[in-house]
Amino acid sequence: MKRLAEIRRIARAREASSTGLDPRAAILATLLYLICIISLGKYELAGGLAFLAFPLFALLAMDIPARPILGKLIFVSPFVLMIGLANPWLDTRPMLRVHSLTLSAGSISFLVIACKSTLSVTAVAILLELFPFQEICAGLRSLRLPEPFVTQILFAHRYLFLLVEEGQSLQKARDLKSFGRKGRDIRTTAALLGCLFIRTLDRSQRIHRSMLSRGFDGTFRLPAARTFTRRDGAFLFLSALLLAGFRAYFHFHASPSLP
Amino acid sequence: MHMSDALLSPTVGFAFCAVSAALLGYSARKIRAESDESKIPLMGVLSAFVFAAQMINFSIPGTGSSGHLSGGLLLAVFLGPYRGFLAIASVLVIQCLFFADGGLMALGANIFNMGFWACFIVYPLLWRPWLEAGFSRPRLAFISILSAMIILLLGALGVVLETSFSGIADLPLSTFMMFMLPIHLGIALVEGAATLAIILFIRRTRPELLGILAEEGAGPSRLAYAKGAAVLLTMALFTGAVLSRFASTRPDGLEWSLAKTRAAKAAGKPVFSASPAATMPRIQRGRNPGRRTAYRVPEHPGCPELRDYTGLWARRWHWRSRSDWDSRFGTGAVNPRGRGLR
Repeated sequence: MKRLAEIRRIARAREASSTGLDPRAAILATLLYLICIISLGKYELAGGLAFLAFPLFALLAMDIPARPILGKLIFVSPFVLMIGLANPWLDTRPMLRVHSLTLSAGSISFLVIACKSTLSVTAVAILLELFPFQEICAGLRSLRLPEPFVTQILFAHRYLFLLVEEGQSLQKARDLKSFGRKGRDIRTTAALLGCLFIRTLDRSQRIHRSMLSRGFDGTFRLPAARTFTRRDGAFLFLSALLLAGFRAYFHFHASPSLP
Repeated sequence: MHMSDALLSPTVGFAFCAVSAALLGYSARKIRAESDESKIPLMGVLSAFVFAAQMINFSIPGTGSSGHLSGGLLLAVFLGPYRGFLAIASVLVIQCLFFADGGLMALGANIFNMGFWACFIVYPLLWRPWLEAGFSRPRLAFISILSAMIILLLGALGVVLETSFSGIADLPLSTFMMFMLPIHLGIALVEGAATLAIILFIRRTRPELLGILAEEGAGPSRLAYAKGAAVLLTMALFTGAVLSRFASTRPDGLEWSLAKTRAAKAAGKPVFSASPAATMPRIQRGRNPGRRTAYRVPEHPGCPELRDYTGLWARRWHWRSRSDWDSRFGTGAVNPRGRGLR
């Protein structure tokens, strides 16, 4: 539920983008950043920590609220951490000695996994904080993502709130009428979901009729893509340069890796 | 289960991004060629429906846990391969952007794992021919469960192989597989049963929405059986070939711990020290004296649901014994479990 409120907050907070940046430049910079992160070596803890500088800088420079991003980090996939948590047990060769504390190779690779997932979540969260979702989709469309796919994402995002709210009220009604686990069985729930499904199909027909009456021709009218200004180009070039510099440094001064 | 950026190497990530992008482009071209605009809102709203359905949990009988629909099979079945693929991909994009599931670079791998098998293999090669050849409830039940199993197990296998090829996690392939596949088998059974139940509900209430699923057909043709058998055989061979290559002969990790558990059991020793919960007295099931109805009391006294059973349910039994529940409230709609109490 908190997650839904969070999406809504993002949608409301950035009705119009305030950065003046082209979403395409931001999307490409984020992708470059992610490529740099996932290409870091398995034991490259220093590199992982160094790349923390980019989101920190963006948070401070662009006046992005840090609390919702920290909130998102708490939900960093437990699956990843669970899989990574096996590393310290499986790879116990000593690797790093800090004063009297010896860290094994497995512990370091686990820390790198945790670091990478934190960074990738933060990068995407910052991108979403900077632009309204529609502008991101407009950017994706002008980056040559297939038109039906972008329309589909926009539609799904728009109706998410409506249907999830309807689902919630159905669930609440069912829970009030059930006792403990009784009444929440698959049969009752399937009837509930079936009802919601049929209502959804009816809704899609209504939407289609009303769209046709407003002259829908198969494509969404998004805010016109901005012109890619010199400023956007400079932003993209500088970020690419910095990222490449950081990545190259950790390529040539890589942490020693064990055979 | 979503693949994550943190477990992915660039090579594997780029390869799957390329494959998924090609599939997306192909599907988008097919959809444009169809030019059926009425289905554009349908796809979008059904993707949103999947989010709503994922929030509604139901209890899974016999396990004490609860599950939810994940919706991939439902989208493929109702929208067909191309539209279904775009719909599943859009769900994954929104999950990745807003809910931090997976990651942008892992999106290609996730779209492939969750969309490809459902939309381009199971639906056109198994589900559709099988049901076009003849419809009956047992056939639908069989094909739903089987499809869910194939989709989810191959998806899980994808996550395991992508993680292993990336080499970021040290978990040995066989252990990881033993951990993932049984879990996904369970999830698949739940997914298949939930999809089946929803389709049957729609068939009962609005059969015109279902197209080929609505008519009771004649028996299946031999060709349909042959096709189904061929697809299954191919998949079995593929899975066998892939798995046997990585299967290890030495016990490791989980296998070792299982072996240890078995040895300890054979020696009659307790494997784990007893937790306080395990030493608590258990309430036995039994007949409630003075009433006709046998009822189950949860075996664990710490269970918070116990209150419901002893308080609210007892009161309901009282009403039932005076047999005025039905006359007061009617059955079915108000009483959530209808015949369960008789």
